[in-house]
Amino acid sequence: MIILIFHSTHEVLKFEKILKKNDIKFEVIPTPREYSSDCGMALRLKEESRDVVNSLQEESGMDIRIVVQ
Amino acid sequence: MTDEIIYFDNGATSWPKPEEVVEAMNDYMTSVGASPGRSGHRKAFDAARIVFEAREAVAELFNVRDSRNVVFTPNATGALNMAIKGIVNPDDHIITTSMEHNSVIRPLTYLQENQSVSFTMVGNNDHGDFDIDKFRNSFTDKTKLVVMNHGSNVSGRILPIQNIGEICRENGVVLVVDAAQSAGTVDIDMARDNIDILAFTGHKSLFGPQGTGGLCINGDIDIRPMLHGGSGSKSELDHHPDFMPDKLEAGTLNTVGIAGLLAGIEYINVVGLGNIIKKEREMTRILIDGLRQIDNVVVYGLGSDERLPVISFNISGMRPSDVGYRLDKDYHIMTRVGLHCAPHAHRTIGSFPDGTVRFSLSYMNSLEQIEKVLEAVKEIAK
Repeated sequence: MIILIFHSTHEVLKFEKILKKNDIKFEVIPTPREYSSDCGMALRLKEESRDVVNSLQEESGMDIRIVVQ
Repeated sequence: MTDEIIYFDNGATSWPKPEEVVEAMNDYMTSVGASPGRSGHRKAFDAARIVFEAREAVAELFNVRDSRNVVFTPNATGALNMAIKGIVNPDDHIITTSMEHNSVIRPLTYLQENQSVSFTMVGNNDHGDFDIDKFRNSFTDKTKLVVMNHGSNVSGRILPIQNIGEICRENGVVLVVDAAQSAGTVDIDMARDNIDILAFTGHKSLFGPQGTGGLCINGDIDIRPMLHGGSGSKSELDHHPDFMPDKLEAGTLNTVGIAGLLAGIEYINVVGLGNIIKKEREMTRILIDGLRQIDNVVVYGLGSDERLPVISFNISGMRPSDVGYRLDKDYHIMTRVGLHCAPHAHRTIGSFPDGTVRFSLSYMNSLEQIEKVLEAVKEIAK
């Protein structure tokens, strides 16, 4: 699984919308404490989605931290 | 005689709201209810999505490049205070108009009295239009900000914002537009109209509930936050975040209100802003034409056809408050009388100090109501 960590709630929701538009499956989870103490949300996806996530991230110009679990 | 209420006070707040707005707020209270962007459970995510979608809807409506630059405030007054006080420094100069609402004049006066800020109020020319030449000549090397109301809540006149914005760009000065009366009833495009910062309210022509409003920033303009506090981000830091939208928001938002605002904007998109404007302009024209035909009635600030659905008038020999009272008591017609929190506007149009009776329409009003109102004014003016 990969976990996408964002800087703010706004960014999570922005990327969530992009994933939905591209029909990519994901789950919204509370951000694991070891990555950030934000009272926020993170996105969890299957490892296969890594490449498409990378390209969507580049397209969007967003700064997303991708962690492999 | 029916006791039907004829609500002509939409300039104060719009009523009734579309059903969809009330439903959206009800849905939020019963099914969602959580605080957006704080906890990590599904209800919190749902709440956060509503707020996010509302930012996107506002960004689309006004053509804001990035929805992260839409921040929510309790009202337009809050947004204007944040923009003005967040940009202006001591000794700066500001240009505004002579038709402003107190939500602009009072912050400017405060800054003038406490931070040696100076400001110029540009009036109208001989034709009753904004004096754009005087405006051009008002810039000094200390001018930091231009803040103006897009549409007057007293006379209904709409400023040539695109032109004003161009002149601001030429002078390298930020333009803040008070769109409290114009959002949802005038086509606003921040890029096309050269608007840097837009302050809007949710509870007038955007059909949201009271307690909503915001600021849209189209560009890299540094605004000092007014509030510092919890943001749902970087909680380990004692410093408030410096990225948008968190930078200019703190604490729990009026989520139920924002759910309503989102539904209001969606309603506007379904009906079509063009259709709303068309109906409002037609009703306004008929109302003005009808009023002008009544003896003893004075209608103020008549200028171009392009105006807000806001009309100020008086009946000679009667105090505005007495006219308003009779309209309410005898005819069930709601209006707002007096100075409308914009004393300078009344000075400018010649109705100071008594003020005027103001009719302000919304898409929810009808031609039938206009006929009844004209009959009522005719009776009272005899």
